[in-house]
Amino acid sequence: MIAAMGANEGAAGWLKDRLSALVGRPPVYPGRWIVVDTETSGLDPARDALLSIGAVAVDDAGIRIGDSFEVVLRNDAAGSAENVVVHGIGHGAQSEGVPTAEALPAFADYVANAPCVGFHTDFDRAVIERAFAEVGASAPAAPWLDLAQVAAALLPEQHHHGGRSLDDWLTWFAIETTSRHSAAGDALATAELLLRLRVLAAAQGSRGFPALARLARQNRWLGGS
Amino acid sequence: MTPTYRPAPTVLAGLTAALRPHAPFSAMADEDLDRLVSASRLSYYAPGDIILAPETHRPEHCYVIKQGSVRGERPGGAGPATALWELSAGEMFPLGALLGERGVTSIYRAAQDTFCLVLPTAEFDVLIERSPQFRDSCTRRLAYLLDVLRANVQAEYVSGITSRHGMATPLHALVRGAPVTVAPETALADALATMESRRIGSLPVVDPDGRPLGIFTRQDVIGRIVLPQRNLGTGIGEVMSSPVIALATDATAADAALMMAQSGIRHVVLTDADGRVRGVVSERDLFQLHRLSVRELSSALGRAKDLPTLVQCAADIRALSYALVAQGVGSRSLTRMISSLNDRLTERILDLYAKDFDLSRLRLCWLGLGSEGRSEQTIATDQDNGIIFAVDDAATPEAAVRERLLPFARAVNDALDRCGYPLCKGGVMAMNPKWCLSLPEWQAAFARWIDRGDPESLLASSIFFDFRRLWGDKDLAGALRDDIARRAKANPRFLKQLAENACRNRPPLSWRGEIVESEDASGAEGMDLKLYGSMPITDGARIFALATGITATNTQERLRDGGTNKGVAKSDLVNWADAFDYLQMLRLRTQHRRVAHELPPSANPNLVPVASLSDLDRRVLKEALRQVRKLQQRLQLDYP
Repeated sequence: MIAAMGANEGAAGWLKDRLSALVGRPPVYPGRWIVVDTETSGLDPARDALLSIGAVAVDDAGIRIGDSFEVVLRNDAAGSAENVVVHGIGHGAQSEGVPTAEALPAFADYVANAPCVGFHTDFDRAVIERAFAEVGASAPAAPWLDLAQVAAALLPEQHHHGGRSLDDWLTWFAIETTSRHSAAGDALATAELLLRLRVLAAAQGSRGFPALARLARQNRWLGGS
Repeated sequence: MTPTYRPAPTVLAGLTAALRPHAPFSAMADEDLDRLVSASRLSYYAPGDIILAPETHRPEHCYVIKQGSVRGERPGGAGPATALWELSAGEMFPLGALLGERGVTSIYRAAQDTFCLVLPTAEFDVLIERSPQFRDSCTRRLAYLLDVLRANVQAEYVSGITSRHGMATPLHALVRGAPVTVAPETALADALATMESRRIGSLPVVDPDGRPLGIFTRQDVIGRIVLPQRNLGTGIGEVMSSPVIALATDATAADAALMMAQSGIRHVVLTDADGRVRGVVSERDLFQLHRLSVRELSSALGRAKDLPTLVQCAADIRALSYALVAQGVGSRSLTRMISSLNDRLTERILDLYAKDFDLSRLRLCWLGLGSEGRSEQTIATDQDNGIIFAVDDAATPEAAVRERLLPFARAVNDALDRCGYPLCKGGVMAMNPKWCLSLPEWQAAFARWIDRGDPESLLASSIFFDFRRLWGDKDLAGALRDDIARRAKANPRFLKQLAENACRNRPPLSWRGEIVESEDASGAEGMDLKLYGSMPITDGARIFALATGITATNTQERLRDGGTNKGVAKSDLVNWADAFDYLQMLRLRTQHRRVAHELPPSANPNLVPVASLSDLDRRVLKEALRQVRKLQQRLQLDYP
């Protein structure tokens, strides 16, 4: 927990650097997708607070470690005690976090309208859009891709045998992860899952963001959750 | 696009933590490891994906395995059977190609679901410059380097074999001499007699213009002649296989192998542009290299009944040493195998010639001296040998026994010369009356060397003190060995002189640690690997052994047993043994390269032009030479 606090303090300073580095110059290269994860104070996207955002960029060749993003937001409303334990974001860290009015535009700059990818994206997307609305800004207008749908579509057998959560799929693919349960660590793990699923999808002829999005949509229509 | 090296701290911390437990990264400064991770992509490779393939240019990326494993394969092969090595989590590749600024020579294939951190080469170069720990672990740690090098050398040898003996070889290179052919009217009796006398397995049948009509092979004899009880006056045209399966002489071994596999035949006829028969290539010709194994060579040596057969075996031993390097056999086992084959060859020659001379009522022992005595003769160096004989009858003068032995010794020395072990220019051979001595004469000679310690004695020590019995009476060699061990141990002055001698040739490293080349007598520039490298280690090991009563002659054994008795730290002994292995292997590779590129024999086969070495080899050589200096420093401390 102490280590996590330290990292978050570092994150605040890092974001300042990032902000000055980013002004007017979002990273641009072909095939840039953003894999996003959020941490919140609870499981209700309509009420609970956005505590942090983590994201990593992916291109055709892999995950660009240098092009990643992480911010802990300053929140007056503290998260539930339970979530503090899971995410390691204590009250102290949150009060030292970045004011929402600064953090969200930085995130929007970082995304720069690249398509976004996540796991159970309905939740992340709703939380992020609400947070943007609360400061009177509009969230990035990027299309979203939900890997929960993609995984279920590609591996229906595994899905029916309990492939439901990010952890289930990471275990199933034997992906060794680091620094889980921080937004950025989970974004990295989700990105590794994306690399695996992309190879499977390509083998079935689905290449590129629109094809994967189509796959996810079809799965939803077919009643996958 | 300008890369932005600003990763999220948690992502960075997680990935650096994953690398930290592994050797090259554990010692790096946080800042440098952060830089490595930040500049990388994390890429996924499915099992079977090729990550790197042989190229002529330097690879564009350095790879660090985060999860999974990567297999090295020789080009042209496929599947786990051709795997050369396997790398796992925390390992970096292709270091040899990146440091040597050359293309990779093997295929790097993901063996499992594999995630690699992929670092652009430009960043790898920056880290080599910036991080001394990273540079050191990439370029200095001997054991680590030797591993990397082994893989590289192996790949180099394998590609050498595929180009020299492999499937790309044009078939005309496999044909020896003019083709033996017959006309269709030739009587079976005559055709079979020809096959028998020329020792050939197949006979093309041709028209008057030399164009192939058919082929008859040894395998056809039973089915087409013996069982049908054919009259041997029948023309061969009636039993031959027709039409002939033929290939042009510029087709490759691969084409022939494919054709054999498809048609189930063992012989392919070669024809020139006019369609005339030029020769036959058999399955056996194609797979000649596979004939070479230590076991088969060893039994061939045991069966050999004449000198020409032994000459062929000796050539096979040399070809085997090349093939063994290609199979990734390390210097130590290679040396052991080749030495034991050389021993068997010498024994066999002695067995054969002993029958031709009257050696009755003589007790004698044939000694291998110098590198042969140390079982380190992987390189075909000049022969060094001698004879100990016993005079059991006090009435017979030693000179008379010697006169009887010298013709035998000369015949053996000449036979060894024919087998590719040239006569010793310094005359250290059993046929020299000076080195065909009775036990008391040898004892007196050693006593003189040990007591005098003059330059001649010190030179003698490096040849004679490493004697080993190769053939004949064991007890004679044992008695001499015990005598020397006792004498040398009791003579510290002699040991001090040996130590001074061992420290005389200090490895030519500049104050900056660079290798300084020098010119040899013929004007060739280079570094003498023996004089400044392997010889000081051999000398040091001999001193440890003599000082502590160890009777082994092999350098590795002397280091292990004598060095331990002397109280040398185990880590030093391991480093010196590794350095010795490397220097010996480099000498062997230098000689192989000379043969492979058909360069003229050099005046000094141990001279390696430093510029011809890859960057990696240069770095390993520097470290090996540094170890030589350390050993010399130790000797100076022991014998002030």
